Amino acid sequence: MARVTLFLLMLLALSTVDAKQHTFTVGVVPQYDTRELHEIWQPILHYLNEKSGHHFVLKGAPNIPAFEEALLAGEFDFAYTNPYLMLLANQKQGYQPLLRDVGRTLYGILVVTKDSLIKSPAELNGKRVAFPAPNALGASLLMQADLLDRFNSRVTPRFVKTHDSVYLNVLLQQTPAGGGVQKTFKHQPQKITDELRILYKTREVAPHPIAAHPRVDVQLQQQVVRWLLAWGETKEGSEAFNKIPINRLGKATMHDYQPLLDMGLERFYQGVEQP
Amino acid sequence: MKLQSKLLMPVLIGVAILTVIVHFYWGPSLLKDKRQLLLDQHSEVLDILAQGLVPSLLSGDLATLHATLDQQMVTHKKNWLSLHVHNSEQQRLYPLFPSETPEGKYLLSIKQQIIWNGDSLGELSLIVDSRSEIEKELDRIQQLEWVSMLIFFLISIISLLWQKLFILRPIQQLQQAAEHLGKGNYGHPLTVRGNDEVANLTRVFETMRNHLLKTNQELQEAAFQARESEYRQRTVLENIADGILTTDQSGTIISANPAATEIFSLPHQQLIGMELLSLLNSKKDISTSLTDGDSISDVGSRIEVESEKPDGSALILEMAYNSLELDGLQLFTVIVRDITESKRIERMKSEFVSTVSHELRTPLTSIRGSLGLVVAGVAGEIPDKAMNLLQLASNNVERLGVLINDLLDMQKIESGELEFNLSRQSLAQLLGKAINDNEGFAQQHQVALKLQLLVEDSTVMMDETRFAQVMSNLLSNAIKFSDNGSTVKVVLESQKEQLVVSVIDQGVGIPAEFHQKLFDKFTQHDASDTRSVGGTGLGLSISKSLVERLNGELDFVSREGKGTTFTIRFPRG
Repeated sequence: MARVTLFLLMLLALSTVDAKQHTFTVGVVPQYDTRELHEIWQPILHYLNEKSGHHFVLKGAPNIPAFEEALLAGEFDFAYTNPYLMLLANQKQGYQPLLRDVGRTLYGILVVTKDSLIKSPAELNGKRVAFPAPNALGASLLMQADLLDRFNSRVTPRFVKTHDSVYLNVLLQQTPAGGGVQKTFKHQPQKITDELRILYKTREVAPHPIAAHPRVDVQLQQQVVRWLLAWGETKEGSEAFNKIPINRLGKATMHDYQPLLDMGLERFYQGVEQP
Repeated sequence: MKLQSKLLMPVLIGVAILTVIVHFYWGPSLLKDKRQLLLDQHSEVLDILAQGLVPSLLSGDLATLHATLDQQMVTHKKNWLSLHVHNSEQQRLYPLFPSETPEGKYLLSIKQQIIWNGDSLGELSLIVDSRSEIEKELDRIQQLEWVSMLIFFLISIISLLWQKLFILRPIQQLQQAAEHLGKGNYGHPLTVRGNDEVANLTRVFETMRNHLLKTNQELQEAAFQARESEYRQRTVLENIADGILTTDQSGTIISANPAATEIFSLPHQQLIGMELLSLLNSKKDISTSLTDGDSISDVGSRIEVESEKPDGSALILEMAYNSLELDGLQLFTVIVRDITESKRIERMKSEFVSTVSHELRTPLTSIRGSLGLVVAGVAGEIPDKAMNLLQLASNNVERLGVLINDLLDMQKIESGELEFNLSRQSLAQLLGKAINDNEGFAQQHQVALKLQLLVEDSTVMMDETRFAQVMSNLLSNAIKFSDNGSTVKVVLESQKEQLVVSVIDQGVGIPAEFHQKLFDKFTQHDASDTRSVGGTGLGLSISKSLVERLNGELDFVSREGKGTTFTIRFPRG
């Protein structure tokens, strides 16, 4: 009898363990290479593992299109993505933004050579402009929207894969202008930034959110929000989030990304899915 | 240049040629090949790089292009000095900022088109500093040069030592031996090693040296003998009483011994260079001989010539000359003997003999006549003792008469006054007459005379009287020296172109010690007063002279106790 009791108690313990620990995938838009992404996100995921008792796993993608495809397929439980993909993911899979950087906004910049004769984006009408990737939010989507909507400049986009390429194309006069973002621009060597100037800044939008798939338990979502917000207040957490970069972690809602819908970015989006 | 240097020269020339080849041809060729290799290597890298840049160029992904090329520059930072990419419109895509084109001796410039689907997307330009590679290659080449030179140097040393040991030293040894040989030293040591050409040369040299030594010794001996002979000859020439002259073909005197200068009473310096004929009065006898090379009929014979001393005194010379050829020149050796005195004496003697003979003959004839008359009893009866004395006197008178006749004959023969009456005669008939004329004398000595004619035609040119005189002498001698009852044979036969008369006796023979002087005057076997046979001792001398004047020869063979054979030879007439 005692043996049976002990056996049943063991089964119960096991079933309790099985029922408690889950593995959650975290997809991160491949702004950097995989190694860098792991370095940035592993501390955060580790923190979540400890706090939740679950297993948060970073899931990468070889490139942005692949990431987009995976995101819109709902492969990630949690995702850190750009705002436009957030919209698409919300529309497609019901992803909900949980957290974002509330200390900054996201916008695109238009760069020309420092001695360029172009004084206004309107002068770029009919010209070629370099953009990193078609769906880069600030550098490409926001910029193309503003060029067309605000300056009536119909430009011929040249998608040169990366922000770095954009700046190089402008510097080497392959295109008279190029679209980028402040972060990547500042990331350039001084010898490049000294030769370029920012001609225009786009409208600003909320930056990349950390979102969750609706299949993730809402309670857990809220827990994750609390844990990360609390940790973000710590030195350790703050440093970890700065690397993403998230200057100041705060809550996010779909409302933050609503303005993107009005921008008509789908005109320029070249994705797997269209909203 | 010494042999060692000459032997070393080919090696040095080889080293120089090799160095020149390595330095000016092989080295640059290797360098060129190295450059080409580097060009090919870097071209290959550029080619791969160009292909790798195609996606970036197509997409405009200059960041990747720059990252790639930056990485390449880092990878090849040792020797890639400059890397440029230009697009198809010659716009620079890399590097970010323009840079000066490096220049330098060892820079390689390589360009590579970036082709995609047959279209040029741009061009890669690379400038590579190949200094280190080239310098490595140059070092290698220099090492090669040094190693080559070292090897050749070692080869030279080994070759030099080898040549010194096996060629130079033996040749030096030969040289020393030759130098010693030149100084007359035949004993310089020679060491022979091996059987190569130098060793064989050394052996041959040694053989030659030994032969030279032997020849030298023989020459020295010959020279000694020659000197001795020359000394003897010179002594003889200087002391000989006869004058000996040497003339050239024209008769010019080129040498004269002291006797010649004395004979001609001319100093030696004056005599040399004179024409011999100018010294003689009778030139015609010898002129043709001494001046005409084709007529030397008198060469070798003795002739008498007259000359005159500088003081005008007469000089009679007996001269004999011979021709000789010396070093291609025809010379004449002339021996002159002053026979002036002997001629004078001979003439005096001859005159004396003639005078005395004539003076003796006259009274002798008278005495003979008177004695004959007395013996004949014209003066009355003569007592026996007186008759014996008269007979003895008569015999001696006869004997004196024969002697005087012989003396007169001899004087005429020697003076050349004797005349011959030559005519074709039958020698057989003359011999028969001689036998008859001497038959009486033979019977007196109880010796038989026998004539044997073995030839049919015995015609000769002969003086009948003188032949009879010769035969009378020979037959009388044969009869006198034959034993009683023996036979004296006279044989006439033919031998080739000669007629031979032999007078053969089996008498006492002539002792060997008299053979040499048998035909001398006054030679008799027994010259004492009590000799057994008579004779004046002039008979054979006169007979020989007569036979020779008649163009014949008179000779004999004799053995004591066995008899004597006198032989007269005459040419057929």
